[in-house]
Parts: sequence; structure tokens; C-alpha cells
Amino acid sequence: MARLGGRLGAGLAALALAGSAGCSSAASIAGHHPPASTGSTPTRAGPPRSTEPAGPGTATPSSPGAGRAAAPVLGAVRSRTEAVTDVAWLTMTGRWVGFAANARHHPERLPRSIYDLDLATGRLSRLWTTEYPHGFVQWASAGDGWLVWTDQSVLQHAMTQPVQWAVWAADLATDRVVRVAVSRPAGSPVTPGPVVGDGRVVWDDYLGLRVRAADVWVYNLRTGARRLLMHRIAGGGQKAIVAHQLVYALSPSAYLRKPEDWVMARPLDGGLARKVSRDSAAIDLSAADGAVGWQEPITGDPKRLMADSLRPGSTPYRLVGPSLGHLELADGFATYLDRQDRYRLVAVEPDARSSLLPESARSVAVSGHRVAWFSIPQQGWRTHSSFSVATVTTR
Amino acid sequence: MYEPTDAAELTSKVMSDTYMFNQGVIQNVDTSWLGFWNGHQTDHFDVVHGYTNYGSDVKIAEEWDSYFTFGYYPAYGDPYGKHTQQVTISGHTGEFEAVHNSPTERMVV
Repeated sequence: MARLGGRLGAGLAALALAGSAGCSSAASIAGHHPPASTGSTPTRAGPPRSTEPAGPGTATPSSPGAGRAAAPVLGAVRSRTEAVTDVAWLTMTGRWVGFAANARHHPERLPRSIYDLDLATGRLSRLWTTEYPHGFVQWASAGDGWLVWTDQSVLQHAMTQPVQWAVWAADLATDRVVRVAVSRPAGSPVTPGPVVGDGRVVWDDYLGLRVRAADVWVYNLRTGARRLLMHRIAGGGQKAIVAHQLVYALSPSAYLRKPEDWVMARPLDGGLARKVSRDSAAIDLSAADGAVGWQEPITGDPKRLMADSLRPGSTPYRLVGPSLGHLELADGFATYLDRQDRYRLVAVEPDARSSLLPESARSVAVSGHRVAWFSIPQQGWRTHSSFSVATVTTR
Repeated sequence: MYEPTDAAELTSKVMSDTYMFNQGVIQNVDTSWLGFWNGHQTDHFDVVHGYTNYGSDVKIAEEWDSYFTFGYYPAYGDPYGKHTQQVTISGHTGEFEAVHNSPTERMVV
């Protein structure tokens, strides 16, 4: 698939750059060194909104606690203004940041294009635009230098309204875009949330309101081969790829009401699945650096955030107490929303201390040892957004 | 039908209806602005049944139960249940923005 959007990189040099602590130019963001490529999980955020200006370059420690791991420390925050609006689904892998957005404000505020920002060169590219006349990007995720997303044909005005969808993937090193899967002709009320890692894309294909389950498919990005990984899976459409395993939710039995979803891990190259979580219903999976995290319970606030190292015989542990969820794991640290709806950083260790991100961000992504976020200024949100990135150090 | 023009107007209506008149408020929302929808974007109506923190947060009873309908959790999870949502525009998400970006931009008071 050829690139559908034009390069925006040249225009970036003329953009006003909003510097905070640290450097304040496109080159400064380009100066970041990419960490080792790791699997990344999607952020769950919609279009941008007004926030405060970028805060100081260090995070604020939370309440003390003896014997607990220290809070991660945020390095200098590098910020700049991007000529995009309606940013959603911010995600990051290695030196690339991917997100859905519009080049100019759209009245429906539905993000219609996929962008990628190369932190090594500072170049922003519009990689792709929806192929549906009223389509938009409903989901995006990144891992191992690839970006995957779901193109949805139209906004659902009723939750059971069937819609057409397509799953796409882009090699961020070459900007090569491939169409991985499309919906059945009748469409589906549930659209997939694909994940990418280990050279493969995994997505769920919901089989309809009569079947009430989904097939899980895997697409090999090197060979283009597609195969059915799991048939008629009940439970959750949320997945993550980490350490050559697919982590997913599975409902061991069917009820009309809430099931007890288990977190399962299954080797992508074949082998038996094993149960990771213990006793509680779990949802909202995130995985990176050989670890997986989830939230309990499934519904209502607050959530309890759990994690497991995925090593044989490992035991799940509580990462964070009451929170609003939105857990995203990276290398040794994670981000989440606290009960006051603020993003925090925490080490991936039992009951570790946390620190606040320096501003209220509309969407946050993590990968390797970095955290990135988008916000928009109080004024001018119809024309641009503010992007920030910082390195995170764990002790 | 009432169209709030800022977060204070929304809060005022919620406080008067739930505290003084003992009734919930139905709001048209764009769900991507509500934290418990995990970024999923759709048109929807929600019921606000109270407030806390002197009106800076509203209490939402989310009726949409993805598992009950689909027998399956979509990628955005399950928004069903009781939630507390910030009203103002200073946070990650906001009830006012959810209403303001909805098709009607209005609530039933």
C-alpha cells in the first residue's frame, strides 16, 4: 500500500517550538537515543484537550513508604508544537511515536489519519488516511518498530450497530503500509484491537451476537501468511505480545453476567496456554519488558493494578492500589491514572512509590525508557497540539 | 434540554437536580472523553446521579454493559458500572468535554 499522505517534516522546521525544561527545538527531540525495541501497548485516549503548560522536568514524589521501591525519576521534558488536531491513540515503539489525528480541525473530531514521529530525526509524517468516506481510526498500537491500527467505517450511533473495519500495519522504518485484515461483508458491532510484536500482528474477529465469541488470528509480517490462532474465544478482546507470548483474557465459563476472566499467556510459536492471573476477574492488559499488567475488577472504579513477571512459577503482585486504571508498562516502569485522574509513573515492583507526570496529559504512551504525551494549548486547539517526551529513570 | 457552555454550568445543573430535586441528569456524551471508556469513540447517553468534591467530580452510572450484549469484552473493555468523572477541563478527561463534543451538546435537566 502506497503512502496516502504527504510528508509534513519540512513544515515542522517552521513551527513554533514550546520548550520547557531541557531543549526546545526539533533537533533536540531528534537527539534522543532510541532504547532497545520493546513491545508497547496501546494508550486509551481520545482527542486532545486543553491542559496546563509543560511542567518542570522532574516528577513529584508521592507519599513515603518504608521498604517500597523508589518512584521513577523523569528526565528533562522536551516539548514542541505539532500542526495536528484531534489526537488519539498515542503509542510508541523504539524511536517512533505513532498516533491518529487530523491535519486540521474536523467538525466531528474523529481522527482520520495515522501519523508517525521519528524521535531520531524529528520528522513527522502523515502515513495513511482512512479509506472510508466517513471513517476514522478507532484503535492504534505499536511494537517492535511496527504500528497497527483499526480503520472503522463510521461512528457507531448505537453500540450494536454493525460497522465495517480493516486492520492495517506500517513498518515505521520504511513507511511500508500493509492491509492485514478486513471485516466480513455484514460488518460487526465489535471492532478489533490489534497488537503487534515478534514480527506478527494478532487481532480478534468477533463472530456476531449469536455466537458471542471471537476468532483470534495471527498475521506474519515477514511472509504475509495468515492463520487462525484460537477459535471461538470467549472473554476479552484485549491482548498484548511480550516475550514471544500472546497474553490475553479468557473466560473459562459462560454466564449471562460477568465472567471470571483469566489472564492467559500462550507461546506464539505453539504450545500450551497457561493461566497467569489468580482469583479475580481481570481486564485492560498491558505488557512490556517480559512482564504483564492488568486491572481488577473488570467494572467500576477504583481499580487495583496487578503485574506478573511471566517467569515460570511467578506470582502476581499488586502494583498499585486504588486507581482509575489505564495501566501501560514499559521497561521497568509503568504509567497509570490515579484516583484524581492524574497520570503517574511507578516502578514495576510490588507496591512501589509513584511520581506525578509534570502536567495533565490528554494521552500518554510509553516504550523502553521513555514516556511521551500529547496535550493541547488553551488557545489554538483547532490548529495544533503540544507534544512532549522525556526519559524515565528507575532506581 | 440544556446546553452547558462551561464546566461550572454543568456542575450547577447536576448539583441542583441531584441534591435539590433528587433526580438524575441524562447527558449526551462523546465517550472518548470519559476515562472509563478507554478512548473508544461513540455517541451515547449517560446518567449522572450525584457529585462529589463540591461538584468538581460527578458520579456516573454507566448502563452500557459490553459483556452482557456481546458475550465478549471489546478492546475498549467494559465501561459498565459506577464511576467518578472529573468535570473540569484541567484533567485527562472531562464530563463537560464529553457533553460539549456530543452530537446534541445537551443534557436533560
